[in-house]
Amino acid sequence: MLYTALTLIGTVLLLAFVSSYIILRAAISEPHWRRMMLFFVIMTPVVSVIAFAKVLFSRPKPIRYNAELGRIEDEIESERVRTFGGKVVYPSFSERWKMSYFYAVEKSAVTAARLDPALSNFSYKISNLR
Amino acid sequence: MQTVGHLGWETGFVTFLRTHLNVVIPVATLSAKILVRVFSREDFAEVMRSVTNLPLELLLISMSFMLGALAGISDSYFTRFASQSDADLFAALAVIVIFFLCLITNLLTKFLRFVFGKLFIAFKQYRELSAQPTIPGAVPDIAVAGRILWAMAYCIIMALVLVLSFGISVITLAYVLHLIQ
Repeated sequence: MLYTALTLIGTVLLLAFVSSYIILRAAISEPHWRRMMLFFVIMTPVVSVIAFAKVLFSRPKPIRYNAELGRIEDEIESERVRTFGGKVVYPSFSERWKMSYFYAVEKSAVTAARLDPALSNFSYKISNLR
Repeated sequence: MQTVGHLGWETGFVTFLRTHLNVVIPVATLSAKILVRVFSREDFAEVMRSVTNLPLELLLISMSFMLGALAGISDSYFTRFASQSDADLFAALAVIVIFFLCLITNLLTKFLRFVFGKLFIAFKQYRELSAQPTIPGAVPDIAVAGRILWAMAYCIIMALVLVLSFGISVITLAYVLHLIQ
């Protein structure tokens, strides 16, 4: 049973890495960037298992939203639609990031306001940021 | 009657193929797909399109095995059930479940192509911005680094989607092979 599970995991990872390499080869022409991106792909399954285990035991901290990075993603998305066709996908990754960040900040503000009523005005201002 | 001389290693190889069909079928399908495309001298974008379809094709192979079991090709499949009607009903249900898994995998494949498009454009814009002359002493812009950051994010998303779609298809194929072998 354990042997079968290990061979299945090995097969899935092998197929995913070979496919990733082919996709990266089609998307990135610079070999040094391709190698670096392939490193991220290889690390992703390991890191995601560790991250999942960490989320089970501790609360993850939200990554601060950056409006400039959001604008860059919008530029990438609009050029993707011009090049490959189709519709602009909404909400984009940056929009989801923005919503989840503001939700986490709002949640923290509500918790803080519950502990100290003097902060309730601050919590209201954060809710208006969304 | 003709006899064929044995090399010695081929018996072990054939035994490995028989006992590890759940590994051999996906890997052989992927290798055959790549080799056919490479020998046809197709560009990498075409090879990429073909490879992203592999999880769906593995699910279709599983479905055809189940249909084969329903048709009575495998004797060992029927020995797992108390009656013929139980075996038939299970096979029919398995085909329906595999069909829904095909729908999910198809959505994941579409999403993968969408992420590929984003990755391709992020690097295209990065090349265009890097080629532009910079003013000495100017504050570095986030535009170039931002593209690389997004490309990294797209790579991570792509890896997760690939592991998920191959996970669904390879595990389904392994289960179907376990039933019919």
